[in-house]
Amino acid sequence: MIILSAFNKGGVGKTTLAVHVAGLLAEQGRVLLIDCVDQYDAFSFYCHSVPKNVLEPQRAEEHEQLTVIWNPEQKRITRLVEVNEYEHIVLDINSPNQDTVKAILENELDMILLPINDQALALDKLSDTLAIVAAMQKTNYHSKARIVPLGATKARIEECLMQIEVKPKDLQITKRIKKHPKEFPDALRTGQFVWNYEGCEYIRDILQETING
Amino acid sequence: MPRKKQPSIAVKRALEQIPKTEDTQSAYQPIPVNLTQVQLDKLKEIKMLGMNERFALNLAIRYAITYANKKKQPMEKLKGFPKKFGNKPIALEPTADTIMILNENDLMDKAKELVVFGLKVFHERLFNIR
Repeated sequence: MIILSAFNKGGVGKTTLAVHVAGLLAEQGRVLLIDCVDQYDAFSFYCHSVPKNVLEPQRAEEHEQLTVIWNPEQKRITRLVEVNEYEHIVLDINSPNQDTVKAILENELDMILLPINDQALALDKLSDTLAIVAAMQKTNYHSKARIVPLGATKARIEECLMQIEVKPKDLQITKRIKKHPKEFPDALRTGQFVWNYEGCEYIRDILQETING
Repeated sequence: MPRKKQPSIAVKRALEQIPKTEDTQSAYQPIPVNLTQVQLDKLKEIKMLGMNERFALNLAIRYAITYANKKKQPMEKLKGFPKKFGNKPIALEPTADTIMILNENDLMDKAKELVVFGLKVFHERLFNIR
């Protein structure tokens, strides 16, 4: 399964979502996490260091089945690997719309995860991300799209969706993950899974359900 | 009824900038190797199991490294480790996994030999059926 974490606004939780989904999947099989973000936070989350070179693959510390690559030029997956070398591949990309278009166009994705926090601006930008996914579905792309509420309530997202004209097919909202303003940044900074924090244990089940469905 | 929200101009702009040419460049430097006809035939036989050439060659390299590590011998001392090459050129496009394993074992400069040696030992173990 190839999964993309995308949204056309920074700070909504793309990297947080990507690293946690990759961690869950790595319990089941070999996973490649491709970090296409300039700040390489996903790479550092697992390798506890900065990338030595662009595209240099590194085994994640403490996660034998997970390999991480920093790919800021967003090279297509098939140029990096043979897809069947891994059970799962997770892509974390930068915010610009062009990057989302390129990621969808160049890779045969199975699922797109759209994290969204409770910032008004994030909800406001949802329409553009959905329009891009929908537009790409008209070309050669047939993957599921899942909005993952990271703070935003389902009701607010549903209300927002009602007002949006262009939406992709097979779009669903997953169960809500509550706002954890301290735990999420701390988890990303220290390389810990957020579900290891007190009160955040439920997040694991929600993400597991998301990737299963 | 209020008009629904339309995508912004930024979406139109992003869609207009769809790359027109396919990215066919290797992410990693290809490894040129000269094989013999016999080695090419072995490669063909391995591929018949259901893998493409790139996958088979990458697997051969990784198998060679695993094999040498299990034997606990320096690579050059292993029986069948090549000292010369054939005259049929191929270019192996390494995958990230292969690059990682070559780096971890400090064998990047032996990649060509590992292709040849890997094909030999991998083929032997797959097809020497008694």
